[in-house]
Amino acid sequence: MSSADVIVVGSGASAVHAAWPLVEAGKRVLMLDVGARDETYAPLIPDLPFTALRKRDENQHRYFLGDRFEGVPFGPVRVGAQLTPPRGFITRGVEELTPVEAPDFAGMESLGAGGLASGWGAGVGRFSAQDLSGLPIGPDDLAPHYAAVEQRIGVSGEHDDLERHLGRHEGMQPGLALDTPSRLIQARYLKSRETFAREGFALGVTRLAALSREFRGRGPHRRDDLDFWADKGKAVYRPRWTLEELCTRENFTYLSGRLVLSFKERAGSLTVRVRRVDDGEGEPEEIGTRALVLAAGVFGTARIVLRSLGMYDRPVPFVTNPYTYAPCINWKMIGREAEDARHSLSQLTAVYTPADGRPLHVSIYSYRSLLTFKLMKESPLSARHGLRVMRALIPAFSIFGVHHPDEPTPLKVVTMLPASGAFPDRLRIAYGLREEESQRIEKHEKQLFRQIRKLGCFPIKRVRPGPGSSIHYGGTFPMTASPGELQTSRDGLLSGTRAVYLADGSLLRSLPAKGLTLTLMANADRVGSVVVTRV
Amino acid sequence: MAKHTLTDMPDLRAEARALARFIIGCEPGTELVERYVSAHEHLFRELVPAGELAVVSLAVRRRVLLPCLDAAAALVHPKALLHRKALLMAAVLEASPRHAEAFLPRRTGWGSLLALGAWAGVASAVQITIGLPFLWFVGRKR
Repeated sequence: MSSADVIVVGSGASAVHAAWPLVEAGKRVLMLDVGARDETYAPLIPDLPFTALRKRDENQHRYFLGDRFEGVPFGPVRVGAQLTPPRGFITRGVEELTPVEAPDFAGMESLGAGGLASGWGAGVGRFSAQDLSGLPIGPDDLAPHYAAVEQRIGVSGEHDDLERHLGRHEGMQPGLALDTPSRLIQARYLKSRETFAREGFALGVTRLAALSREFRGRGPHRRDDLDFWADKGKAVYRPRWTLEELCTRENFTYLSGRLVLSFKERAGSLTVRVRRVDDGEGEPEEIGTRALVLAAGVFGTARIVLRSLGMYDRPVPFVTNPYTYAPCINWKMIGREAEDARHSLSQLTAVYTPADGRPLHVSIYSYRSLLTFKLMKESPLSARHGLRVMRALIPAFSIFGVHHPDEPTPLKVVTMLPASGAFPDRLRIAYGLREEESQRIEKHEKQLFRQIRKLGCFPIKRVRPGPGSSIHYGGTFPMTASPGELQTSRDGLLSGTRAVYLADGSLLRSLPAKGLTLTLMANADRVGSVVVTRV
Repeated sequence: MAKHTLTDMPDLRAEARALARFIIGCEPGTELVERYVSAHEHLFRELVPAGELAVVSLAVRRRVLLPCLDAAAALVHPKALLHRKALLMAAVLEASPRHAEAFLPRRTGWGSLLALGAWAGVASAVQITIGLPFLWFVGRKR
């Protein structure tokens, strides 16, 4: 295709939902993407539950450890443990194609088909008016788009104490059954529910973009505990499922192996400069379009915008949720059998609202879906003793992942640096917390862990993997009512351009603690619907 | 400081057998030994100090010292070559149906857990007491 009504860049959660209303409206849409995929490991994983294939499959070393042993990390444990060898494609090519200068940044980018959401934890929740404060849109603007996306992806959960914090979802299926440790935590919460409520603490079954019933030819979840390794039955939503649906439409074209470098707007024309990355080192090609929708992820979009506008050495704001995780001993599990039939995603979600701050969100997992040697690495014991102790403790381990809200400050910026010598242009990511932010995080976590202990879970340690480890990013080109330079309008139109729209986390000014992916999808659907009327 | 590549190690196969016996108490099959050796091509390509290699070599030659050296390394230097190799062998064993059972979570009551904790604590203390001087002395080799 040499031209299209609209070019959409990227294939992640934002991109596919921005493309959807355009395709529905009959526009000719071209999606450009690097689009790395896993063609090695997925076909090797048999249709067996996790424990059964550990006992039976002779080939398990290939997908558990990886053909290059990439599943045996010797560094410190980091967030993104779900990036097992079969998920390695998510970050493939990133270092080479999208260089970053960020020594203290523990974040992640993706050039894979489906983007970061290919390894997404699938937690969903709608943003409230407070979450959207500072933006020129409110919950009413997003409501129809939340509903449209929820009907596309499928959501499960319960009408429990989380409803006040996460809203109601369109056509929500019953929640996936909880595993044994989480049932015990939930029972303890329900016993003292009023006391917890008085102290600003709420707990419920995690709202998931995962199916407990069949939906659009996907699911239901088989409770095979393989969610870190495979997508059996497509029960957990991945943007690839929407991409597959889009690819069946005549007016939609998907071109993988393309890295979008920049755009150029001249009088009456808009072109996109694209480098082929699947076919050697050819000259970049130019493709014309009437409108461009950038949904390449916060860093990918920042590169394209800053490079296109020649804004080198010009810092733009950036936010990411500070993240802490804490392995805890759920003492009620000691001596109990934990059933094998379960899902591996977050089982429970807790919301803690401090008296003097915005809510913290906590995802609660059980440690059963990864291999034991990874835990042995964390023990101060010899391999032999570490193995014995960890085997005994694993049924009682619950992992609490805590997200804090984030606001922009001058210490949180990304800057495009120009090429110099042998180095290509690259993104510098700098993130620092002000003293008062660090103190607030520390104070709120102490209060939160007091509540967690009341649930019968005792933290062994708290781990802060570093800035960016939440894998929630935003804030680079925020929407404002009167957009200035490097800002966007409420429709996502980049200031100073006629037809360049942004449709990913770049548009959010700040981040609440709750998961943002559902909102990114809904807002992308909203931006896509606006573009329909402009092309 | 003199450094050596890990592929200089004369007998990775003997090392694999010693580590497997130490971790789960039985010999690995040939296939697992070869997998351990091939993992070195991917994971241990860096140069390491001669002292680290000497510790591994001592642990393989004097197998009675292996638990002591690993216990000391796990406590004071978790990124020590010997401990990383032990964890690699654990990964190779765990990802095989023959040995997976030895790594699966096990229901353990309060009594057994306390006994296990006490035993692991006391045994580790003794092993560390023996292993630390060796680790320090042999690890100094340049």
